[in-house]
Amino acid sequence: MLNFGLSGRRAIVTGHRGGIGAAIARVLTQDGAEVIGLDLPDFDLADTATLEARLAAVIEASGPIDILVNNAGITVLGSVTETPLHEVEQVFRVNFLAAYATMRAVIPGMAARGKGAIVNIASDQALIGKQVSAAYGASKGAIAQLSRSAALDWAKQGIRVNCIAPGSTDTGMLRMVIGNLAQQYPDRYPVSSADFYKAGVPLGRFAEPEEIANAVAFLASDAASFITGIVMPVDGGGTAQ
Amino acid sequence: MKTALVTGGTRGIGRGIVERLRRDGYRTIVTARRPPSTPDDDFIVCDVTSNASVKTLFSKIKQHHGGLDVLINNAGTAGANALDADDDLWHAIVASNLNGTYYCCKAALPLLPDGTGRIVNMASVLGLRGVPDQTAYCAAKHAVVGFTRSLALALAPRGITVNALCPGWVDTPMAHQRFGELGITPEQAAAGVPTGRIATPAEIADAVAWLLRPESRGVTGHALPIEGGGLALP
Repeated sequence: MLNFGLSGRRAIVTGHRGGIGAAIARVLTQDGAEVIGLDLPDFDLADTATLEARLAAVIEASGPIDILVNNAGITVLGSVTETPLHEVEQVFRVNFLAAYATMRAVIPGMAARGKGAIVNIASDQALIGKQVSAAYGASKGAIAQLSRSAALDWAKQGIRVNCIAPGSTDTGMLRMVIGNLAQQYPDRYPVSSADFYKAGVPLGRFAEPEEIANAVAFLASDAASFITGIVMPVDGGGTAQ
Repeated sequence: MKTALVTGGTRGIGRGIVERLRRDGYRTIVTARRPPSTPDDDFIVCDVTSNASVKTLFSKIKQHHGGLDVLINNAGTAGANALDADDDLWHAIVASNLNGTYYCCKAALPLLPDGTGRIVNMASVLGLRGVPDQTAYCAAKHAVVGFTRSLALALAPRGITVNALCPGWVDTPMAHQRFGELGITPEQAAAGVPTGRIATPAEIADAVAWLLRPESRGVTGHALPIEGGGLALP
């Protein structure tokens, strides 16, 4: 297997206990990186009031961060009228503000050293719209645009900022969403079986978490040394349609 | 040993890809209209604008190698095409970049293995945005991106991925020729890139190598920009 050359690099991975996050932490670790995971129950990314101070403490204890992977995310189903503001705020705290805060925490050190790679995990919903996904889709669009903007601001300092847009990935969160869609919207989503959704993917299957992690490792590595400001779909052809 | 084909592989980006694939253990067949300056046992002459030439190439590949695992459609010509000039340059640019990619993909389909076959088409950042003096090249490269998306869907049931690479300025003879046409220095070109430099052929080859990994099998129909942040610009 091709090595990404991450030996000796220190990485922060948020949401490392979830399906995709665990695969990211595993692949980066296998490639030689030191991975610092930030996730519940011991690290609450949604508590934004104290987040910056807690991130500063993590970085002070760990030393310089070479790679940041903002993977933590939560989902809520619903149209605009079905999603009250407090739920939108919670989605944006985890999916957007926590990523923003971690970027604020690591970028000064990366800029001072003239090197760093940030990979934000968005969703195919950063590129296309989906029904009953008002808050989640908006939060993913926001993280994609943040990545593009930050890529320009820090290009000359050697910091690359990219975004991955995974399609349906075989995780507990996806199985929960499929179940909830059938339960909450039986008229529109009458079938709760995974096969129904797989049929909508050109490759005919869901992504494995390792396939998303493979894209993270690439964009975090020197093999992607000229790639910055992109939103890369890993979606089995879904957004080519 | 897996077999790869790189069209236009004797110089520039193509050469960088060939060197990388050989280092990674691929038997790599190289084509160009003219033989390379240093002899290459796996060189086959081919003009991708000619369907007959492409058919001959693939019958040789089938005869000598039995099949093909990886097709890299890299051959293509560039240049400013003035709109008040005759149509020859337009047709030549469309023929090499678009028709050549189409002919090679079509000829490769029976040879590529289900599940692991890979096609990578060289598009350009000009397949995603425009510049004023290259209507033919922009049109042809946008078409390569559209062709890539469509072919990716067509081949998805076979598990063959089809992706495009969209480099910006790359340090090649072709780019330096363009600098001359545009009356800019390489330093001025680099200053226009957010990262402040232009790419190397090896960096394009890195992306090819990643797309060929087994773990990249879920990436298809994507046009991957490799251009130092330029597309994030307004």
